[in-house]
Amino acid sequence: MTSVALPGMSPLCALTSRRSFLGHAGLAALGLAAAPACAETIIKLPLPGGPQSRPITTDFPQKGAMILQRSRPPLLETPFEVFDKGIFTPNDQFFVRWHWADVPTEIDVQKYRLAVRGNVNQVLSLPLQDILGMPRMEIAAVNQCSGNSRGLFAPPVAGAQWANGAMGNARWTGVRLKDVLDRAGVKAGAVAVRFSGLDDALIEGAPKLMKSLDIDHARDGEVMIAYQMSGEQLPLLNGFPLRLIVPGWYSTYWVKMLSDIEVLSAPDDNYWMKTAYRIPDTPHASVTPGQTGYKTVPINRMAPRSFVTNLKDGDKVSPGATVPVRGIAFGGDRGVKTVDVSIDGAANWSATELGSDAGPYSFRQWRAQIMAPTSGDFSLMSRCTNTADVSQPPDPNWNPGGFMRNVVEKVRLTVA
Amino acid sequence: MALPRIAISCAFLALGGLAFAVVGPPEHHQWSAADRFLAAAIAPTPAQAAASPPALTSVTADDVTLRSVAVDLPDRGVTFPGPGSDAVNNNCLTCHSAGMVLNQPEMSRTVWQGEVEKMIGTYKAPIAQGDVGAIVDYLANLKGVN
Repeated sequence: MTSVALPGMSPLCALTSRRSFLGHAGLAALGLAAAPACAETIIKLPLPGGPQSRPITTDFPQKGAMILQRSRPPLLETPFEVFDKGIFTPNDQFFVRWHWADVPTEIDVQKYRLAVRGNVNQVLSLPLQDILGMPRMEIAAVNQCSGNSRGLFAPPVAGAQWANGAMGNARWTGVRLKDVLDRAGVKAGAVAVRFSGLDDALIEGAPKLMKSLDIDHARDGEVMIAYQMSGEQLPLLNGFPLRLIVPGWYSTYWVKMLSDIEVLSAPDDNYWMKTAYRIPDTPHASVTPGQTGYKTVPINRMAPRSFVTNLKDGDKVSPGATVPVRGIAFGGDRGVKTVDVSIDGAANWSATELGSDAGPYSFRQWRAQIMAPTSGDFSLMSRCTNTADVSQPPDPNWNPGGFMRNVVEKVRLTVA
Repeated sequence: MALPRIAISCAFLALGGLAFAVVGPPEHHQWSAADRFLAAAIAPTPAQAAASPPALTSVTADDVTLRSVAVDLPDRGVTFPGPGSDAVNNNCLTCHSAGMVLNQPEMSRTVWQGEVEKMIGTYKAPIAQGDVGAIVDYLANLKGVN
């Protein structure tokens, strides 16, 4: 049993498992680099601060080809071409983001329990069987990392250097959080509800990931606990067996492997609300690099975004050609009203045709035809306006967390 | 490979009349033609093996079934390269792999100092005080701007 490749892996590409981690810690102590000895696909992400190269990995369980941002704890980005295939992101290519290295790798669905406690009449410890038996709801919703597109920030900021693929859209099936809270009976004086999952830090005293929502938001009938993602149980790395779904809000609130719900009678001052995932309380959460002294608030609602999915930077189009273009958009915390495109640097905009509407929190496809210039390079821009008439801004935002990018994006095309 | 071989041999014996083989200790057992035939006959197809791992439970209600999951997460075993990397390799790889650090853009020494201090102060990384300087030096060298 000295050198057995994991199933489905070529022996040359076999990676060490987390169980043999001490093995490579030992290597490190000896000063030996243990680089993977296999040829692998490398892609280049358009990250101005560099480095741009990332491996494509198929080594993660229940996952197909993903962009490897970090192996442990896993950060896996969806290759952008996936978004051209439809409005629902396949589960096996849905992005993955974990904060702490202690991610349980075995879940026994008969033993799993969801605790509901705190400022409630009746403390609950709900088996999955009970949750499956409660009234169901389904919602299509975009799950987007707060730092999606952080790698496009200029000047660059520390953190996961995502391109645009730390987002995905799925049909989430489960139960209303409100129904679960009602079963426990929220007592008077409740102000917030705090959520945490089974993942944890390896180091004692490190702050466990916990996120909270105001009590009224938690009981709005849209926030839910999902046990299915586009008709299947969730991949473990996307939070199996239960994940909090907070439609229209950034993914930091979508707690994975949800195991604990605590009703609070005072505002949550835990690290992940009070210190981390804070944004400037300014338009587009934007400040000047180096600026200090501004007020911050916990990151919250998403902003509208849109992307061209069938063309990428550097693609060639024929002079004067009619070029079909298409992409996806989402309105952020509400539906898409319009998507417009421009090929003249935002001087003129043309409406696009929207695809079917899967609900206000879903991706929505758009398509149009553009007339390429007869010569010269040009940029294709898309701009989403949501149903509150909020449009993507023309200039990129900046903040030290690298959060909430939603500028009008450009695809640079060459006429040849 | 001892365990699968024992399991197959037991299955062989359980088939009663077919069990002519005397099974010795695994390390002495030689594969016979009959063994190979039977192993092929009782081995699950790859699809079956993936769909129904042994001893995994499930729960079902109202036509939704959730099945227990057991996976193994890969670790690429990449370490920080080059001179001066001992301190960062010895202190930083417990909590996270090297990849994301190597994927960071170039940042000032002050930013790197702040990152290391955040790892220690906020995330409780057990980094010896004497190693902090070497870690910041390494990061500022590898990924630094003035």
